[in-house]
Amino acid sequence: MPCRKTALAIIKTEATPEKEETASSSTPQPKPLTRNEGLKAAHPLLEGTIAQTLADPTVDRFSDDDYEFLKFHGIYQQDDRDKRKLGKEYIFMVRGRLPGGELEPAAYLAFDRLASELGNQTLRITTRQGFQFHGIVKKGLGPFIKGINDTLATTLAACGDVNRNVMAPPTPATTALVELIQQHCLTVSDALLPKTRAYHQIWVEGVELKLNEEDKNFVDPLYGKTYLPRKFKVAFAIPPLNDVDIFTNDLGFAAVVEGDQLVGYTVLAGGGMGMSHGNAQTFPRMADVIGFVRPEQVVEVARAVLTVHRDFGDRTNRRHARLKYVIAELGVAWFRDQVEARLGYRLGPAVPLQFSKQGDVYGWQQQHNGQWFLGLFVENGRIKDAPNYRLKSALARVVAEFQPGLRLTPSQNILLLNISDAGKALITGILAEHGVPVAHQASVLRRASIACPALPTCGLSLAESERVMPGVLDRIEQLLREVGLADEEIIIRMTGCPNGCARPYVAEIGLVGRAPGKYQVYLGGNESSTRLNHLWKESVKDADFETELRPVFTRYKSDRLTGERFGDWCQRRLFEGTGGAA
Amino acid sequence: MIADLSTIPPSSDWDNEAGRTLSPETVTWLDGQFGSMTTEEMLAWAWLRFGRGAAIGTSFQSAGILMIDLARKNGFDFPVFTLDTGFLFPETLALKERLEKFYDFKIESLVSDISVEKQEEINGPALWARDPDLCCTTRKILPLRDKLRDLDCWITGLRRQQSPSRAGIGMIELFRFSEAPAKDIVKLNPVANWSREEVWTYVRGNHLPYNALHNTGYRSIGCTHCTRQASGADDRAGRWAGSAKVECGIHTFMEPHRP
Repeated sequence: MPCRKTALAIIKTEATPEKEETASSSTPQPKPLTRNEGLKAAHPLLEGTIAQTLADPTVDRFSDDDYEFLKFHGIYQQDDRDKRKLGKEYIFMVRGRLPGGELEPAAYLAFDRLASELGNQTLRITTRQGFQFHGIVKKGLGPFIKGINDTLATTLAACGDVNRNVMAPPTPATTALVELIQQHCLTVSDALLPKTRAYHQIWVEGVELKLNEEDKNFVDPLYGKTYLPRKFKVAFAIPPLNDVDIFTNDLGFAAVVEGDQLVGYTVLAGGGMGMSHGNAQTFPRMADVIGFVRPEQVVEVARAVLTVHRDFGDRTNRRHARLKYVIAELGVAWFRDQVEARLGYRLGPAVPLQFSKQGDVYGWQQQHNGQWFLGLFVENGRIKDAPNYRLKSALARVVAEFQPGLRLTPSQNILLLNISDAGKALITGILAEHGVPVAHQASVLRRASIACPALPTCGLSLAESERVMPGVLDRIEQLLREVGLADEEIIIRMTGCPNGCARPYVAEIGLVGRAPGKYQVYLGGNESSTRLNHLWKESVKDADFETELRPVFTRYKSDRLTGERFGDWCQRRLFEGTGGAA
Repeated sequence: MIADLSTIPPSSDWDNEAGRTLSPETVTWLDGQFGSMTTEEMLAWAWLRFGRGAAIGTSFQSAGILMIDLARKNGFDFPVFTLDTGFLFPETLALKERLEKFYDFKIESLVSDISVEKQEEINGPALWARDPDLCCTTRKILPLRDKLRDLDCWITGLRRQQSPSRAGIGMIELFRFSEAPAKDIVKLNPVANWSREEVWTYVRGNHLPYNALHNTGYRSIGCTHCTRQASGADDRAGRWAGSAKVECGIHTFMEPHRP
């Protein structure tokens, strides 16, 4: 157990706790803080020796300490795990922070060019509506990040122990409220950015940091000296659409609408996907409903929830450090009290939530204002040129010529917004020239699937994901045809490790890598991502997916109620009476 | 002692494939040929076919040492690697150093990206006791996988007589990474037919270094937490004693690629 005793007695409203851990003497020896905590405390500006290493052309990598600081700058140091023969070849993954998945056409074109010139010629839409770039070498890292900042986007706090990219519903056809909620998303995102000036100096000005006395004692006004114990994720949703998978976030704001007016938000807290194999102390968790807030209160509520995590999250174990564990162990009532104490007022009674589905819409759709938007399916979020499907070139041309609004979706697709009737036909033509269809873009199974990047770039992956997912889906589609379930929509999500980037624990079928070629199989999520699925089979070989799934699909087909989805049937028939504790 | 390469058909007779790997059909054919060949001849074939694209993986069991000896004597300069799980016996680590001195070469230690300490943080304490498969995956399979991705041929010290799970292995086998882009790797088991007695006769007769633990009642030697002293007919006795686990998984995580 983390040492929370002393912290419990204190309700902090500002800045950070200063090592309460040393205060108690009667309790047993507290567990030591993690290495990351020491690093943050020693370098509250998060600068490390990044600037020096960046300026040194003789080294191809950053130190282990800088590895941790780089994350706060939106950078992961990786190596190509398929090419370790001559030692590690260091490459970098850079993640852009795009609140609500929104970006300007000029920014898109710059990203496209940067990926071509300095990356691996692909742009990858993340499951949190950001962009990721892979395969950047150290020499290109400076120009790459500078290039992103030149577009007025940033990579600051895209990774690390801070608030991550804030999500919001991207689809303008849903309601006119989308634009208003996008504004609230941006406001919250800005309010939760760390204030270190190191990022700007290193990457934008490109100067070596000269630390003065004041810098050494820098304390971030929100995060304090040691930031958060772990990452923090915020999402907005507009019920009944749960396209952001709101229950999987540390903090959620679900719009409460009367007529066409936004009256406030239902606040949710304590969700999160990540877990570790073999470690019962870790588990995926769905967020709890906490209360109701008015629109103008979102920023202060976000700050209050974040600082509860800051002050009470477990800093002795990074696997047990998310807000979800605080709430799971201390309770929702305790948590609400904490938040209200920080706010100085009570939260309103929660309005019941009604979600009916998650996922995106595809093809041409009319916006509420009469213009058109195009939902384009992007397999696994990877925008690239394949011989007969030149999506990257097509998008670059369309964006350059038509300057549409652009939004990335939580299911890793892209939307082109604000298109006129005339533009609609022209864009359809340009896409067709590049082999990109607008109608019938992909099968139902593919449209409902997500896979994380995994091998060869991600250092956490135990098994393949993105590279094998198309083949796995082909095989499952074939199997569904064989048992008479062709065109049945089943939400399938795959990850190469249990950390949950593709949110596999809310899918109808979740495939979670456990060892090369072996997956934990989870069943029983639902269409609206409001329920955790269950671990069904352990260590299933990739080659055995059909053998394992065929009997279940067959039973489902003969036994299901009218219109009953596969996930709901699994919940009813395979896990009857269990609550969904994955 | 130089291997007689004249018994191996010229490459063009059977190997007209472009690229670095062999087809399943070719491997099946070769396996038939290799049945009547000596260990040295098979090593010679691998050296001609793959050069340093083939590597010997060893945990320093005596059969592995014998094979390293045959390769070095014949001038087959295969890289040699071992999986250092962080839980090896001091005697095993000492043996590695002794071998490096004996043959004047370096043995590469493959280590997991996840340190022993990090594993405890991620998966909780004493993972080997609670979930030995996951422990082996982290400490052995993942670093091996990353190594094999970039090799053409993996030379092992597996013997058919070691255990029922190994009785059916070929002299040469083709495995496929269950991954995309698909990649095949040739696995060569040139000591598959050696008996335990033959191995020891060779190792002792040639005064080769061997693991000192064999003098104190250990048979097959793995990690400290999961290896016990043992006796009896099973050469792999003492590995994960008291559990049903018999293989760490490095020889079973890939799918055989058959014709």
